Amino acid sequence: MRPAVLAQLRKGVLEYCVLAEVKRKPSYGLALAARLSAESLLFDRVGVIYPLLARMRELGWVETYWEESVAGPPRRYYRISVAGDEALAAFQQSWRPFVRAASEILERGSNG
Amino acid sequence: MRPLIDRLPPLAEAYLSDLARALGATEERDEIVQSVREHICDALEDLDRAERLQALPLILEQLGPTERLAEASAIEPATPAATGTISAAIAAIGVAFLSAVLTVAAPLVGAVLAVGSIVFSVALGRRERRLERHAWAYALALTVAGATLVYAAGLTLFVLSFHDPVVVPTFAPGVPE
Repeated sequence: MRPAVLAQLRKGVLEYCVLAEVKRKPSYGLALAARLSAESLLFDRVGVIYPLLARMRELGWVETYWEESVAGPPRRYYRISVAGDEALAAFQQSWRPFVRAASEILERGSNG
Repeated sequence: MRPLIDRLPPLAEAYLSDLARALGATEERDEIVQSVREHICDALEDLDRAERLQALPLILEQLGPTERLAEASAIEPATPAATGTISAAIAAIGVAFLSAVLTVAAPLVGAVLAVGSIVFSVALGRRERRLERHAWAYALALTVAGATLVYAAGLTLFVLSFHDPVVVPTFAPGVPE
């Protein structure tokens, strides 16, 4: 895979992947980063989730709260908000036909 | 802010300082740096001193170069129109026009409302400007509220110029009245 191509493809998608993961399960930063880093194509460096989370919190898409940890100080947890849920749904609605259309065209190009 | 976070090893503190520098004057700088600090703290939590020093370079590598994080902070999510706050923009315009109408009958009330409208429009407009949404609405609200304030000030000066000053009699000692 070419890093430059991947960098382009990630634009506009990463934040919604973070949002979807936060929706699936509210988490603290390290746990969220560990889950997302399993998809190395998307998150080759997990640190990028923090600027995205900060931006999404400012937009009102995610909310933070503190939760006691078993050992050590309390942790900052992230959860999706109603506005975030709406934004994610709107993105998903556009994403599926977009991927289908792009795949079809690229397939035609590689066969032709 | 997360309470009671231990001071991290120098390598981690240097990484966080670099990150703060790379983020520059970004609005969310402190929040991002604090979140990354929490990430490092959590990753080191169950390790002893020797293990921490061994694990830290890998943790920082996984986080990524500070420049990459700074680049990510510049990403603006594509916001669907459905999540816009057009009702707030309309409210800003409504309050501005209401202040203009009220100024004719009650200049003071209108002026106070105009100030409120300006504060409201600036606060919301600042947030929306990043998303390039409804800028026209806040500009219109600010223009109307600003014009209302100028009109109220002018009206006040006009009224004061025709107001008879109270004459305070002065008495000079020794002068018969």
